[in-house]
Amino acid sequence: MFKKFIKPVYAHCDVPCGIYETDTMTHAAATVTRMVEKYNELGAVDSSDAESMNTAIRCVATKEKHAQKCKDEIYLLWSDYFKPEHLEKFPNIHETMWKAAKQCSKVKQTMSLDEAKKLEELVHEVAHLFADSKK
Amino acid sequence: MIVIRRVEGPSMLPALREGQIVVGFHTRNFKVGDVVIAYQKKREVVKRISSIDKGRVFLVGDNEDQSTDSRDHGSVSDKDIEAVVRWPLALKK
Repeated sequence: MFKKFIKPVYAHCDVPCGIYETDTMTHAAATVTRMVEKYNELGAVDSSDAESMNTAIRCVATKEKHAQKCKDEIYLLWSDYFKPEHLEKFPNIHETMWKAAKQCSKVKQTMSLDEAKKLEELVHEVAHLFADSKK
Repeated sequence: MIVIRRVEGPSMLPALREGQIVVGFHTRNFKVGDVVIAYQKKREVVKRISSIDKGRVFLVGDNEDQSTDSRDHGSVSDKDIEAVVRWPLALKK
């Protein structure tokens, strides 16, 4: 009990959790690819058929949502996790993160499977960079 | 003079854990590797000295992934080092 009366000294971390991972962005990028595939499987969408329109719109909306989630995760890692000493060791951090974030925007603009796959590759590079920085 | 403080936060794990009481001594005689109580951004922090260069002291928490320190805020002046932690005795990284 007496401990409460002793003045605190901060062994702090501004990010309370300090938990960083790349599974979420990997999952989000894979979802983008899957949504493009699902949309393409629909074939020509009949605008007079509410069901097929609904499915098509849901594919696009889910793709949009997960592309943004992927981008948010990349930004979080880029700004909060990576520190100057990481940059000394891995000088390609900025370029890798920037390209991956840019690709998130690209996949929003298109239904291209190639662009979606490219996002997965770039996120894979980010995940590798993150894993290497932990060694 | 003696400084008694209670650790708040995870950045000095495993050497210091949340709630632990530390005892420091005012001294100008500190070196790289010492755990110190210092003023950083207008609050007292407990961190380990990573380097000292021309009156500037670089502080880093032992638990590097969960520490906000000189890597974020830059080094502190040696005048901002308030005390060197002497208790607990074993403060190995």
